[in-house]
Parts: sequence; C-alpha cells; structure tokens
Amino acid sequence: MLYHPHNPQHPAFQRKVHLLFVIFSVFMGIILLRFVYLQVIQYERWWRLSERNRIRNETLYPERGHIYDRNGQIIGDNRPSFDLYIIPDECKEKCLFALQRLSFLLGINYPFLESSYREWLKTHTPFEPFLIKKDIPYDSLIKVEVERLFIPGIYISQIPVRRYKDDFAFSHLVGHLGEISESELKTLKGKYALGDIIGKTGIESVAENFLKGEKGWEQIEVDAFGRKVDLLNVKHPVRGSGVYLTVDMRLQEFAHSLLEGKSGTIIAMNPKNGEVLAYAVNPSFRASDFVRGIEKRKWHKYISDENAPLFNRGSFALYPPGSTIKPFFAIAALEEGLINPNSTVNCPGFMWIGNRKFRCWKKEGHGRVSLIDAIAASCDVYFYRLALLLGKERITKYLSLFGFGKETGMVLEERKGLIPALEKDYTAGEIANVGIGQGSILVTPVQLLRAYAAIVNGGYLVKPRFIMRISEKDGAELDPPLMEKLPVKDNTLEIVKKALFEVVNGKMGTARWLRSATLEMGGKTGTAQVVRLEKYKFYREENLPEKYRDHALFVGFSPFNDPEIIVIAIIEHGGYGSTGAAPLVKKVIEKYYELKK
Amino acid sequence: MKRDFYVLLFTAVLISVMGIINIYSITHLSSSHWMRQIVWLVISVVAAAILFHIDYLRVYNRRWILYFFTILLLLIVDVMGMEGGGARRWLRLGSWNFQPSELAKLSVIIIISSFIDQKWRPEGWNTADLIKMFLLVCVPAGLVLVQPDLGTAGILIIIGLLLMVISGMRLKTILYIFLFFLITLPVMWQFMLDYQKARIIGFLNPYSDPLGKGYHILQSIIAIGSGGIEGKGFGRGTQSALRFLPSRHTDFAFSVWCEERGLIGAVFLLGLYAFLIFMILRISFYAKRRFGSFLVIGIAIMFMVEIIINLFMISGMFPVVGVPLPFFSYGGSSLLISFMGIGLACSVIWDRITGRFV
Repeated sequence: MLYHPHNPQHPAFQRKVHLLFVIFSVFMGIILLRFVYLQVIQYERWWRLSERNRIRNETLYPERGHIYDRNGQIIGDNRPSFDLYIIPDECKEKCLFALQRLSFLLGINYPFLESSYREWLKTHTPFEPFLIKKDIPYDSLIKVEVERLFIPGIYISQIPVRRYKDDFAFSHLVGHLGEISESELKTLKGKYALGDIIGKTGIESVAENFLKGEKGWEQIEVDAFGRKVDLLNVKHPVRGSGVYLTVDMRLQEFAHSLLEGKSGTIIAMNPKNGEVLAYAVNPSFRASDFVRGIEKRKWHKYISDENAPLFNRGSFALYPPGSTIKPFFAIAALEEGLINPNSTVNCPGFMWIGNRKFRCWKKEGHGRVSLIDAIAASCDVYFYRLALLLGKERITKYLSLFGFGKETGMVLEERKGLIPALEKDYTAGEIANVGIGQGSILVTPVQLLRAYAAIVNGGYLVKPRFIMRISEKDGAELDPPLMEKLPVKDNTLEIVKKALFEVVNGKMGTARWLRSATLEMGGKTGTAQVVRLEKYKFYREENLPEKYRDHALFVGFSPFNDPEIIVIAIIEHGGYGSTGAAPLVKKVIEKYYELKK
Repeated sequence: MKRDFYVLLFTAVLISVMGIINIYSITHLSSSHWMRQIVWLVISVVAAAILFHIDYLRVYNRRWILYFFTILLLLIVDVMGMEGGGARRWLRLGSWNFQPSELAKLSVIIIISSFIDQKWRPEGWNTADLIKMFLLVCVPAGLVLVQPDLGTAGILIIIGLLLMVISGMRLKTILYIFLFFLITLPVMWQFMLDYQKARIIGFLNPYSDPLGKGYHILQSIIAIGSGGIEGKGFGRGTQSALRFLPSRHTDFAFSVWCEERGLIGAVFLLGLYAFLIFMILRISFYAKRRFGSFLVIGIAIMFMVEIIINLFMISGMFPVVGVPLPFFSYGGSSLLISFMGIGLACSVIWDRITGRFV
C-alpha cells in the first residue's frame, strides 16, 4: 500500500504534485510578465490615460442628409457648429475666472452666467460639461482658441448643423427643425436622445427617417486643457440619405421673389404627374433660426407676428375660391346634361333670388352669354343660375369628385377645406353664392391647383408630389405617385379647357391683357371677397384699407395642348385676380420656359 | 509540523489584511465594506482554526451529508435567492449574505477526493468511474451555472477534471475529454446568456463596445498600467477614486492594488500567493491516505485556478467571468471558504504529527 504510485509518499505521486506546481508557476510567470509589460513598458501610456478622467466618450452626431432640388442643386446641407463648455473638475478653483474671461470674449452678461453656473452645480457632478454658449460665431471661436492655454477646463464640441442655401424661399416646403420634445422622445423610443434635433414640419419631418443618419461615438484622450491628445477608438457617424425634391430651385426662388412684400402662395406643378415645381409661400420664416432648436425669444416673436410667418399658406390656408370655382360648375352641368354649350343666358348685371338682388361683378351686365363666354368673362349671373339648376346634391358630388373638401394625400400636412354638406339645408341664395365660390366653400391652394390640373390633363386627379428621389432610391417609397381617372367625359373637359383658354385669349376674357402668342396660356381668374365692414361697402377696391381688400386668385396653365405646367397664385388682399395674381402666374410660366431652354 | 499551519494561516491573514487595506482605500468614503470584511476575517480565522483541529476523517464520514446539503442550498438560491448584478447568488442571513456556490467548491473537492480514495485503481480510471465523478461535479456545477455564475461553474469543472487527471487518467481519455470540450464549445455558446456572450466578445475585442463590457477590461488595464513600478500611493488610485472601475472592490480589487502599489506591490502579493500554494501542496505529502492528499491537492487547485483566472481577467488576458481573488477581494463567503480550505488542508498535517497509519 505504502509504495503504491498513488501513495502520498511515492515518488511518482510527488513528481505529479511538483509538476502541478511548475505549471502554476509558469502561469504566475506569464502574469508577472504581463504586469511588467503593462506597468513598466507601457507605463507612460496608461499613466496618461489614468490622469483625471482623461478618456472622454463623445457622441459623434451625423450630418443630416442633404436636400436637393430636382436638378441636384443643394437646398439644405450642413455646416459645423461650435458649442463652448467648461468642465468644473478641470478648471477647479479657476472656474470663475474662466467664466469671467469667456463671458468677456463672447459678450455674455457675466453675473447672469455666474448665477446660472452656480445653479447648475447643485444638480450636476463636476465631471459634466457646463454649457456656456451654443453655436458660437466663428470670430468668437478664434478669440477663445487664442486664449485657450490660459483658460483651463474649456471644452468645445463641434457638431454638424443644417444650413439652408436660401433662408426664406424654401422654409414652408422644407419645414423647420427643432429639439425633440418629450412626447416625441416617448413615441420614438430608443432612436433619439434628449436634445437631439429632429424635423418638425415639412420635408424635414416627412423624410426624417432618411435624413437623420446614424450617430457614432469616439473615445478620445484629452489633456488638462481639454484638448484632444489621442484618438483611442472611433465609430464614425453616417450621414443621412440625400433627398431630392421635385421642385426646381430657380423657379421656386423666382416665385418667392414675386411674393416679396405680399402675403400669399405661388405653387407650380406638372399637371401630368403631380410633381410640384415650385412651392412659394410668403410671409416666410428664417429656417436657420430653427436648426439648433429655436430660442424662446425668437419663437415668441414668430407666433405673435400678425402676418403669421409660420403659417403654411399653401396647404393650410383656406380661401374662398371665388370665380375660380366656376369651371367645376360648368363641368357638373355639362355632365348632367343640364345645359348645352351653345345655349345662352342673358346677364342684365343682376338677378333676383327670392327678394334679394344678386349682382354680377359687371354692373352693366354681360348681355347674352354662352357657357364659354360665361367662363371667359366670369359672368356671375350665369353661375348663380347653374348653381340653382344643379342643386346641393349635385354640387357636392362634383366638388368632391374634384377633390374639394378632402385631403389631397400629399406628404405635407394639409387641411380638408369645406364644401356644402349634404345633411345641411341651404337657402337658394346660399346655393347661388357657392356658384361663384363664396360662402360655404373653402379651398386650399393645393386643392384648387390639382382640381385644375384634372381639367387640363384629361381628367386625372393627381396627388401633388414633392419627393422625387432619396439618394439613389426612387422617392416613391415616401411619396408614391397617385392618380385617379375621374368619370367625366373627355368632351366636357375639352369644352371647359377651351373656355379657360378664352379667359386669357378671348375678346371678353378677364385676363385678356396677358395674352401671348408664344405662351398659349389658359387659366381662370378669381377674386375672393373678404368680409368687410358696412362702412366700406361702397368703396372702390383700390381705396380700401389693405386688410379689407379682396384676395386675388389665378390658376394658369401652358401650353394649351398637353399642358406641362400649371400654376396657382393666391395673393391675400391682392385685389382682382386678373391684376393681383394673373401677372405673377404669367411670369412664373415665362420663367419656366426660360429655365427649360 | 504544526508550524506549517501557523505559517499558512499567517500568510493568508497577511494577504487578507492587505486586501482590507485595499478595500478601505477604495471604498472608505462611501461605505463600510472594510469593516464588514474585518468581521468576516475574524470569523474565517476561527473557522480555519476549528477545522484544523478536527480530524479530517470526520469530514470524510459526513461527505454525503455535506454534498447534499450544498445541493439543497444551491437549489434554494436558484429558486429564491437574492438578485445581484442580474444573477441570483446570495442567501440572506440577517444582514449578512452568503454565497452557496463558494461552499460548492469545498463540497466538490471532498466528494471527489473520497471517490478517488475508494475507487482508485493502479491502471487508471475506467470510463464508468470517470462518468460517475463527472456527474458528481456536474450536478452542483449545473446548479451554479443557472444562477447564472459562469466563473464558479467553470472553476468547479476545472477542479474536478484536474483531480481526475492527477489521480491517474489515461492519456487517451484526456484526449477524448479535450475533443469533447472542443465540440461542445459552440453548443455551449448557444446556451449562454446575452451578458455572458457580451463579456466574451468584449474580451476578444475590448474596443468593440468601449462603453459596455470592454469598458471593464480597458479601465482595469489603465489602472494596472498607470501604477508603474512604485504605484501612486495609498488612496491615490485616480481610476478608482473617480469610480471608473466597476466592481473595483470585488473582482477588480487587485487592479486597484496594482495602481496604488505598483509593480512592487503586485510582485509582493504574487510571491505570497506562490508561497501559499507551495505550502499547501507540500502538505499533500504528509497524508497517510489518498483522501487526505487529494483533499489538499483539490484545495490547492481551487486557489490556483481562482488566482490565475482572476489575474488573467484583470490584466486583459481572459474574459470577465466574475471570479474573485481569494483572500484579497471583498466578499465574506469567498473569504470564509478560503480560510476553511486552509484549515481543512492543514488538518491533514495531523497524519504526520500523530504518525497515524490508516
């Protein structure tokens, strides 16, 4: 038993135990070498890193995807923005000195800065950076850089922020950015962090998922002055996808310039496919005010401005269409077989409905007018009659057929508008009024534009499109084209389209002075009455105070055969459609052809 | 002979005291961990002294009671233990917590040693016995694994395997077992929890996720490396004072020691550990019976494996698996079981003193 190889006293057993200890010693030797390697050979490196929180983990913000026009011109790209912080743990007892110096360099009120700093200290650890100023201008940045060695604890972050090529012209189309709200943070759980910038309205909001890109991070080593010494590790952020809009930058800027000093909208669209070529809205806001989240002061200025610069008049404003609604009544009556295009109606300048006298805009009357003349001359009496002839049900049916009173389905936020409701009762006078686009009918500019597009493109109700491509992908993913063939006879549309041509080119046309042989333009004027006080009742339009003047409307298209552009202009308080709006439309169409060359 | 026990006890207490100083340096500002550890140390020394004076054959006779008691405790922990860091590991005893997985180490050593004592055969283990031993190890190891505590479960398996190898395994069998592990490794990966996988990935590439699991390793290496030769001095561990090192008083206690005491302190402690292991292994020669010698070897293996895994882990040569450094890291159960191991191993010395022949 005793000399068994596994008896503890047996040499074979003892050899095994010795071997076990040798193996253990080898491992300990490896550990020892590793420690020598770390603590002697690599000492400098690790010592540097261990010095007071010298490794910083930073989020790297991605560039927001660029926004381009249909030709690849940049509408919105990015610029670097610098934020200035100090880190209390790094400036220690010199923090107040640093604050004082920085407030001097940046022109900030020092007592205010100091008190907010003290307040901040109560709820934060000294390792967190305290924000002194967001987005400091470049010249201030240089001043700070010059003195950086003497001011401890400075930390400057650099992030890309949105830059717009034109601060005003695209604001309502592209929309604005803003700091993510708490409710957005909740619904978009996990994708964003507090303080992130997100698209709030317009294309920035619609294409947010494509534009936002992917965040990265870097682990950097910094010295006591917060300067980067070494990059330890990095994951680069990924820029968001580029979004190509259907608009033509030059046409949009031109249209916007036409609105200078006016309130209103000019929208141009290709009637064949709904691609919006220009979407100008004025008054507009400075889009760059929003790129890092808007300051409270500026926000209040915007929302208290009585011109409502944040209001997207193109899709959100509701206007009485005025005479621009007349062609749709003509279509309804033709389709229902109530009128013959050649039969005439006498317009003495007024018409009795019940015991009220309904006037035509032309006091002396138009005399005997056919359908085409009635549209061209915009005879009110003719359309009072048509409206009464059609009645509420048929009016509602045809108006809603052409997309009034409901959304167009476009990507921008919009309102439905208003058409006579089936369940409500209307007096004959109210119905007659709808015939000239007043009263129980309100439309958005986009609605009206696409209803006209349906007349001139052969009866297709198209969805206005804004996004053409996303990087290399088809924009259909976000903004699919939509087209609906209306159950309206081609002949009917031809007649009305001819009438629209007469508006500009006919002898009686309300916009006949815009006639141009080369443009082959057609269209329709509209003058929407604004509710006005009794005392202004008999004033001439030109003498009215501006806010009581009528809205001027015009929808124009070109060329007559197979139109490729259709433009709406609505100028608030612009007076008559023929003088306030129609010339603008003509200019836009001219510009379109000029750019096409 | 008896002197061996006192030398060992002194060495262990010395390491523990340095551990407590280290814990004090790390946490005295925020907690009283160090005071608790002193209480545990006193209890542990008493326990070691008692075990030393008990005839280890009495332990041998009660091995099954101990074994099943351990399994019962592990089951209780699995079912209703305290959560800590995403795992159920602790049993609450008043305001003190106990980790039954630590006890499992001793129980496995005792049960395997006694199995070896009874079934040993000169030509080497046959398959049936190997499987039996393996099952004896796997039951508690499995219960520990589901807590989940990958580190301790691994240590149990390693202790069992090494005892089998030393007690006489054929070369062919060793190769088979090696192959078996090679094949089951990918399967085990499938069953691992996400945080365990993350740790292993974090180890293989610490830069893959510097804010997550790789963070521990990087911060630990910075702490060690920045200590240099002489160290930064007591309480000067900037990494620890700024709390960049998680688990800095438990698994990563030695990193802080290296930062504050430098290479000199590290080498001193490594020397103490080597001496401790040497002294324990020497006792295995005193035994008059195989049980005694394998009990001692098992306890030595337990310390060796823990020391090597912990040091490899904190210096970035092994994934973070949550193995404390015996005697040094904060943790009452670990300290108690380590000292009990010393006491148990030393009780084998009595074979030599009394000249008993079993």
